[in-house]
Amino acid sequence: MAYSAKKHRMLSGGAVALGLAGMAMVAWLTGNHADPGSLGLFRVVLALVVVGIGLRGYSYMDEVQRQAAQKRWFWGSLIGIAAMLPLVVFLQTHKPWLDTAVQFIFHQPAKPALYFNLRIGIPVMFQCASVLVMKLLDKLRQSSAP
Amino acid sequence: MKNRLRVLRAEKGWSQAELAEQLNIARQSVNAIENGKADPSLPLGMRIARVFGLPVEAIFEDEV
Repeated sequence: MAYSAKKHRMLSGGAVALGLAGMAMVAWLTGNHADPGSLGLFRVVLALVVVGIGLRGYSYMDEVQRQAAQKRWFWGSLIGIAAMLPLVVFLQTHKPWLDTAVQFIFHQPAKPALYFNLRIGIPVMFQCASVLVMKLLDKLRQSSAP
Repeated sequence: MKNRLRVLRAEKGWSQAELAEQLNIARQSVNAIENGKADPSLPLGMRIARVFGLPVEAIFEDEV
């Protein structure tokens, strides 16, 4: 696929926006006692659409940008996993605290489905946040380069 | 890999953006290649050589 900055920006921005909106909607539906089966299906469809749009955006990068993105995702994912470990250990060893926090945030008693969401959500969020930080650092480095 | 891209570009009086447009890559990618942070593939290396009208080995030099 030929390089196109405009198409890449539009598609990757769209994937991020749709992902964030979808995550907010999943949280809202979970808090409003949505049917777990439909919610699960919604999550799968949302993930497929976001990944599909993201990959389409990736295909409009040039080869140097692709190399940089691959490095960023590799190291960002590793750093994200390492960074989440203290939180995971904390949550595992403070279960009553976690139950109270879940009840406070979602206004309902903690359920296994909610913990399943947290188990999936925490690594993904940490990895994405870490990749975004690396991207920001790259941008800062580029702007200070000669 | 070392390269003479910055010097050659300056000789032609082109900006990074102008060279990037001729190569159909991002300006940031030209910057990354000039600074040795990224190595171009063989097809891109040959495109760069064609733009400057020079053989590939006159632009890129391996660090053995």
